[in-house]
Amino acid sequence: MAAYLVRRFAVSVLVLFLVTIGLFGLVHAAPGDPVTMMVPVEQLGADSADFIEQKRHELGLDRPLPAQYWSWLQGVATGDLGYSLTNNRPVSELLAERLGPTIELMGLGLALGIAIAIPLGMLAAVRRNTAVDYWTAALSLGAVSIPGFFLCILAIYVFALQLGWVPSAGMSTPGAPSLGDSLHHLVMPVAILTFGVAGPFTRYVRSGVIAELGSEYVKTAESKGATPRRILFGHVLRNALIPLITILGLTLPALLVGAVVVEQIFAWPGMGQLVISAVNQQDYPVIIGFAFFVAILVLLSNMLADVLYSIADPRVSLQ
Amino acid sequence: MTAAMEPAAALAATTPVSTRGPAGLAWRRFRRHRMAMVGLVTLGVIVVAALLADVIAPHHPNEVDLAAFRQAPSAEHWLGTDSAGRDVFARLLHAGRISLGVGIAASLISVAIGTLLGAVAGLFRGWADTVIMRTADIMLSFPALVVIIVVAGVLGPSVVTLVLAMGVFGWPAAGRVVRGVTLSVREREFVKAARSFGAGGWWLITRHLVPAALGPVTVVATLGVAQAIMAEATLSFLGLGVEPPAASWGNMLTDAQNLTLISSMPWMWLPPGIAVALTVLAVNFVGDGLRDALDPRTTLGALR
Repeated sequence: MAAYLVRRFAVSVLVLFLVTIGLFGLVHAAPGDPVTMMVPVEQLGADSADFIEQKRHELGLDRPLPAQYWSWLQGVATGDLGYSLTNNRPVSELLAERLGPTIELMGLGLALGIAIAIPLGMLAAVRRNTAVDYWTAALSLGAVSIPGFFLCILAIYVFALQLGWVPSAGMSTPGAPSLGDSLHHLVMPVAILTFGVAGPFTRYVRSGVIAELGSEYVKTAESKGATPRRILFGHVLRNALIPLITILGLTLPALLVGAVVVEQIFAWPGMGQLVISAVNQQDYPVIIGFAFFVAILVLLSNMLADVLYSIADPRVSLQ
Repeated sequence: MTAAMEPAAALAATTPVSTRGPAGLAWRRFRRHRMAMVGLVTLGVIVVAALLADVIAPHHPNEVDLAAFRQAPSAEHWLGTDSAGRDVFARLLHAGRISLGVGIAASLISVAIGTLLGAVAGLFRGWADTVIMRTADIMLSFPALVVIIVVAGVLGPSVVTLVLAMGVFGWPAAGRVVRGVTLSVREREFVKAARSFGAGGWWLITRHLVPAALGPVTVVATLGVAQAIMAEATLSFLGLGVEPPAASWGNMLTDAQNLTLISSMPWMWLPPGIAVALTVLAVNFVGDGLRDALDPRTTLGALR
């Protein structure tokens, strides 16, 4: 187990290293010259060439690419992701202050989505080919096929504008912060993320339970007189949920995409909103910082999923 | 006259039975899949409407009419006009061309890359297999849309970037499937025979492995189109895909981030949203139908 963890960690570091090369290359392929942009437009003339050359030297941009990459990597390794081009604040600080709202949104969406998907998936599996099963299938299909942004706008139209039940944007009412008010603002964005998680997860739970119901140990338990309830909750459910750990590891980073869309539409001050505004202002350091965050999240959640899997299923030994 | 035609018609009706190949058998199974047929017909209508956009829509999609902006649906403008006075119906149909085109192109690229890499991995095994499949695992674990947001955010949005990025990042799905097929086919007698005649890797891939993998690859490609259409719509909505004035279903909704517009002018945002959902749903149904029709296990069952 320990040897596996060390090797797995080494592979993750290698992948992260490749990601840094990719990101560095991407920034270099970006259109526009950062030094030229530093010179005020009215002073841009024939005599500014010397200034640009000098500035380029000061910033180390005239050095060979590998050398530039190396010093950039050293900065990144110590948490220095550079400064935002729009407001000159450190990127790490900007990302850190947006992390909370995004985790709040993603965490609640994920937790509620799974809490709905497990009983619903089980119900669909046990009552296979009945009305319950068809309706869950239709619901999952809707979650997969309806674009998230369209769903958000539809929800705003119905619940915020027509019915007036919930506010249409933001985290709280300015000037009147309270727990109830925050929860009120949370309802719609979380509900949409929950729907997006529960849709596919219900299908996974359903197929997992159906596969387990056909296995030998279920027959044994039945022949020994175990009640259907005991078989379902005591035997089948635990085995059916194990593969979900892997899917969970893949869902966590994918949920960020949903969060980007939801945050953008509901003006939720999280990372997704930050990255979209950075994209619109061509604020490269912030975009790259976000990419780093995602890469680390992906690698960590994959590693975590593997370890949890081996704990949940002793037949799987990590070597 | 009629007497002369009858035997020919009867012959035409009986011939398919005697010459029913694998494709014919698959089509027969596909037709029994009710939702897949509904999806196929819906998709057919959408494709025809997009292709004949110029003929069906009486207005030009980019024609700005500032005297008639944000008008409700009328006999003149069937789905009303948008904030620049452009005809929403015309834009909807023309957007269909771009959205379908981007979806199909991106899926074809990823399937082409995936088929080649999957076949190479399965055929040659060894380090090539390890490198290709490890890369596939890693790429699968990164959310493609976030990667494209980063790439398009730095390089600037364009349809070409979008298609290439989606194409390049979508290959692992096809790669895994083709590798699986290759692993089972490479041990079969006809491949061994071809090898003993001195067939090289390229010959084996193009003449034996690709035809064998065509069924499952078609399914992956179809489902890939649905994913790509969805991704294009999301990215265009965020302003990272198809750029105005060109219409795409996603960027038609970008304007709808304004509350008064959402509440009082649903004709601007409802049609493109429904178009994406309907297309993705139809493509997914067709993909499911194809999977059931082409699944090798059911084929085996029918042969026994």
